[in-house]
Amino acid sequence: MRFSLGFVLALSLVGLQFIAILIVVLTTYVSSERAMLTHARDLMDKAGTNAVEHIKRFLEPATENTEQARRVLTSGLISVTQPEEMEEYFFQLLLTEPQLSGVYFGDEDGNFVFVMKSNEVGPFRTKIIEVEGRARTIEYIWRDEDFNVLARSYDPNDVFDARTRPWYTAARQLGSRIWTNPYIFFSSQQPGITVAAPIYGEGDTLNGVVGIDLDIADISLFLSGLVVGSSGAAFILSDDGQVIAHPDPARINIRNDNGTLGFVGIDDFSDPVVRAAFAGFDANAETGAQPVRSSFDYNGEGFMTLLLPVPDIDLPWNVAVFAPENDFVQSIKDNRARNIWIAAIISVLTAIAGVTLAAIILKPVRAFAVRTSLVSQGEVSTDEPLPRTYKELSAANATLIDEIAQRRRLDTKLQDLNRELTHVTRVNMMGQMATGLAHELSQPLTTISQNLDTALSVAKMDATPNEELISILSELDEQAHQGGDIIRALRSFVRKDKGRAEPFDMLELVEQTKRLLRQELERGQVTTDIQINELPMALGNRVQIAQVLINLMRNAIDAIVMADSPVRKITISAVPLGEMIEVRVADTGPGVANNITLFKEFSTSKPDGLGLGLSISRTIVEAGHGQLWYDDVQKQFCFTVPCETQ
Amino acid sequence: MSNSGFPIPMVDHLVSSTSTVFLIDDDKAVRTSLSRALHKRGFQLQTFETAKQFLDAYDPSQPGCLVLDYGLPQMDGLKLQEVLAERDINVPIIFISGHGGVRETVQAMKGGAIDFLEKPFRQDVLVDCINTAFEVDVQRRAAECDRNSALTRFAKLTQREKEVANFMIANPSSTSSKEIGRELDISPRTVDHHRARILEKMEIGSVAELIDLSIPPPSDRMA
Repeated sequence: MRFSLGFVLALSLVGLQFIAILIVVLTTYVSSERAMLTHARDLMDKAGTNAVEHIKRFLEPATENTEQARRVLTSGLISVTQPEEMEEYFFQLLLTEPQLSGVYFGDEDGNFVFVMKSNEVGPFRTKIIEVEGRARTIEYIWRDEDFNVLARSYDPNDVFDARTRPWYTAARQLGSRIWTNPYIFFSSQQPGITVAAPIYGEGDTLNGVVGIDLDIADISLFLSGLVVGSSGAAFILSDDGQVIAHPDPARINIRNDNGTLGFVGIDDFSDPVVRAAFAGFDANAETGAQPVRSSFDYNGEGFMTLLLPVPDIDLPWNVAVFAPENDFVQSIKDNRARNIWIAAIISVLTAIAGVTLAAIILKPVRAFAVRTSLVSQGEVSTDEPLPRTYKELSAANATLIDEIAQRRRLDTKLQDLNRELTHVTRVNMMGQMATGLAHELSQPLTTISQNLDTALSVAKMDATPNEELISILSELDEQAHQGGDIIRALRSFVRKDKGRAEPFDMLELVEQTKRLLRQELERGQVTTDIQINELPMALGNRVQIAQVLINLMRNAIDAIVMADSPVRKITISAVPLGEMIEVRVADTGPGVANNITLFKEFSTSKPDGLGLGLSISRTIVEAGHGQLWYDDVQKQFCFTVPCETQ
Repeated sequence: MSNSGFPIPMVDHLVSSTSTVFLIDDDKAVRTSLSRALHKRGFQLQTFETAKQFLDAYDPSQPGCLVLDYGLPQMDGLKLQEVLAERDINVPIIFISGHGGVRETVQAMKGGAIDFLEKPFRQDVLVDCINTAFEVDVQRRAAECDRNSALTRFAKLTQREKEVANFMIANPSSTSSKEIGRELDISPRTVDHHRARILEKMEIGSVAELIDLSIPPPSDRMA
């Protein structure tokens, strides 16, 4: 199947355009996606760092206040034996920072002072346990913000012993400030954490342990306000896999099997995405104090995660951040689909535009092509005005017209030569046949005339010559000689009609005869090689010489074909030789057999030949004062033609 | 011989009755008719079909002439003329031809042919030609004979006499005894003696006659 130039052009244009637009769209998409994801990472890092800083700031007052209380209690500025002093001091501490929920001190004897924020009766509640010997006094005091007593009560059944609490034992055992694990405050059901420090008296004896409770529900509150993408979140994950804080505080505390409240483990977390992101979390393996960034797929959606250890606090906490990638790249994903559609539409539009444009551009070309074919078929004259077209085509047209005109001229010339040749060949053939016949007839005529002569002389020598017989014989003799005269006239037939000798170009004539013999050459699969360089103009009858050339070349073709030579070539050469031009026709045939009498009429090696060709050729050449011979050594026919002398 | 009013050309017995016509023509009818006609006119005749047959059989010492067909197969008339010239055989030739081309005629006449007759020709013309040829042949043979006898006599001279004779033939303008003696480095008297012996042996009366004999120069005869 063939397409038009315009169609192919338009199609290629469209294809290229579509591919180009697609490449631009896709690379833009890829690079902007990468940029967006990098941006997302930055956002996550920022959120994570923000959370870390917040946590550090959040925990700082607790540490500071603990240190302050330790120094105050150790120096004796506030006596650990004066519960009332301590109560007031702790009350003051509670007022300084909102996240502190309680401050307390317990000693080795079991005495205990605990000031905490309260929801019932008054905003603050104090619990004081005093031990004297085996007797214990447990007093509750509720106060307002100005330290005024709102209510008092006693609870003789309370068995609370600070010395058994984890914060006490841990601080006592370590002899330094400790943090407890986070836990859920029983009373408020809020998550909290305790920082505790031992108080040493004189001689490094342990007086007791001071502790501060920290309400960490506020961290969750902070986290809920933290923006990570549109649906991402950050939460606190402790090294042992517990979720300490989460934007949704309801999710984090559970009731343990023994009835106490605790934090939910990451593996049991109710949010499946968080589970998928951080399940199997191993603090030692994963963080190593370095941020860990990764990504994962959940339900075919991509997520990014960041795990950031919180440094410079004594707690094994990590900020975990996650966000779906689509929060950041959804918009450009949508764009991508739209852009591909735009590319397709642009391509189709340019296709239409391209085809139209190609049609407009090609219109003059098509008109030119139609005209050219009409001109070459001869249906339109070359003089017809050229349709409006391009400059290049106009030039091509001029060349084409020249070519056609030249070809026509050549054809006409060749046709003329061919026509003349046909005529000359016929005339020469008749002449040569006449010559041949004359020769053949001359033999019997000679015999007849000789015998008549003899008979006449015999008759004359008789004693009484028979006058009548002599007269008859004389008449017969005359007739025989009349016949001889007719034959002589016939014989000169060819020689009389030699035409005029005119100058002609031998190379041109050779080329023309070659063209005349083109069909025979092709049929015999014979090639020609013309080796003619500088030659003076030949002088002779051009058409007659053409006949000689045709005759020699035809003989050469026949020789090659009859012998079925493997190499099939005719070489025609011509060189100036004094006042003559010598032309040689060589072929790759087997050469002339010895038993053939060349140049003799009616002598031929061809099954359907008359045997006149070579004798005619020789007659023609010799009539033009040249010679025609067969070169035995080089096995080629040669003839000479006079050339024009300056 | 004839007492009728129709004279016909006959063999010229005055010239030679021993001469022979050698007829070469590949056409048997032509050979037959021509030999019959010529026999009738008193000619001695030998016929051949080809040039080769003729060459095989021909004895150059036989006087006569050649009636030669131009268009013989294999070796044609012109070629035979060439061969005969190469062999230094000077038998006169009359060409007869059915072609009668100008070119052939010119070439044959250049080669020394007596005439070139186009077939069919009149018998009288042929007979005249043959008689002319015979005459030419006889004269040529006589001249050759004279020359041969001179050569035979020349051969009888001594080596020194040949030298003196050759010098005189080669330098016809300086034949005084002095000049010859100086050239050949002998005394004029000796030269005189040699000269007398040469004239005696060559059977001639003067040095001029010796030069007329046109003995070939010594270089040709040394071989």
